[in-house]
Amino acid sequence: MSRRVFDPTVSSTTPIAFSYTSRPTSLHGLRVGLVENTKFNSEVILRKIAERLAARYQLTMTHLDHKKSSGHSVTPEAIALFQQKADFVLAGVGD
Amino acid sequence: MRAKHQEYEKLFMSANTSNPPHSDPATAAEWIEFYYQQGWSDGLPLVPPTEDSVQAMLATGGLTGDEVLGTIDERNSIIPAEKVAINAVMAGCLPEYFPVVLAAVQGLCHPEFHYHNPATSTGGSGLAIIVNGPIGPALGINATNNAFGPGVRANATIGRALRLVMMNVLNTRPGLLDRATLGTPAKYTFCFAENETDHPWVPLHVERGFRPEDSTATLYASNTLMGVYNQLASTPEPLLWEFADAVCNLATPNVYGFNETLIVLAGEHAEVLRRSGWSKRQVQEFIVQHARRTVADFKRAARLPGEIQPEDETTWRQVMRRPEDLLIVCAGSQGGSWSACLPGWGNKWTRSITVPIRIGVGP
Repeated sequence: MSRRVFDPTVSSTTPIAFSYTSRPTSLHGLRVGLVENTKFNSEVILRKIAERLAARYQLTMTHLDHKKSSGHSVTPEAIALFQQKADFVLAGVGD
Repeated sequence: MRAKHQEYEKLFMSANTSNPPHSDPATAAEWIEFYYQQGWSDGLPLVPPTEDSVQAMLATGGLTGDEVLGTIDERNSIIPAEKVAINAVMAGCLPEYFPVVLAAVQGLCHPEFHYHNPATSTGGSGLAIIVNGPIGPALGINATNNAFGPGVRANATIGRALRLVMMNVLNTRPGLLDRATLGTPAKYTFCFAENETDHPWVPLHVERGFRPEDSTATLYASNTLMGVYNQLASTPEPLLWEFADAVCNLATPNVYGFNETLIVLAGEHAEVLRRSGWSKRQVQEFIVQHARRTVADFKRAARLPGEIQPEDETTWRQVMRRPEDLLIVCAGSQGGSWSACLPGWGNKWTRSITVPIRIGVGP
């Protein structure tokens, strides 16, 4: 008699391996990018946060990306742009 | 109707309990409990898979198990064939149902369905599988009395298999990547066939370019289900006014002109339209034209920002722009004055997807 357990889940097989980037030790003088997700107030909230961070840490907001929708990934083109123009990126939902 | 009654009578009234399996039911119960404990269930008992049952499932799909059926990029996820077969067995599917499940899974992976949105949203959509073509009657998929209700294995288990794939393969679990505020009972299962008998027009798959003898599964992300009741309308206009009112209900999430909406015509409503001679396009255009609200209505309900201006009371906004975004299918029993309006979950990026069902050949 077979006692095999059939696991219906996919836990580790993913097509793209990824790793997290290192975190900056200080925010002072860095360039920040924003990812807006098209929902009401998303851009408003992100810009407010960027303004406050700028005042506190002398940051510069360098680029704002508008996603296609809240559920879409950030495009490779936008990621490439952030890599050139920003030291870190803020993303938020807003609703 | 008589045939349907006889079918139910055969199923429920002629139960034969004289020859049950030889094995102890407690053994099955132990396995069911074991699978519960792994966290793989939707809350209902799972059918414990065996080597034979998983292989039988794969065979009807023309698959070996190693194939990748699709990917969901936003989830960084792949869908292996064997996992779909395991979930289909667990859902209670017969092997012959598997090609329908496969077609639905292909729909999930279609870029224009944009899975991550309807699957994750607080809006909590149920994913309806609408089956067209000869496979519906061949598998006994209910298209008539209680088409959305319980009691038919094919409907219950095909829809459930898709949800189990979503939960177990794509991690669309409550509290994790399913963030629905309330969810919907349609998340347990939602599969029905279009009733192509006495249809006023051509069925959905033919409208979408398939041949009548083709079989298809259309995947549609639905936010909710509103019953549409009208017992007095004997001509199209009053009946369709009511559908238009359902379509532009202010509580519907997407009233900004770009979403899809599904109307399921049943019983006497379908007959009124069939007798009228109106084309499906005429019906779609009438509903879309009359599904509108004043800007003041939107503002009163805070569906648009800002103070109400005098001109807002006479300025109209359409809630749909394109007649083809109104999907119309027929299902349900012949008797009764009930139909249904199912507003799409969607934003403009999630579209219903129709996929051909292939038996014995991989997708």
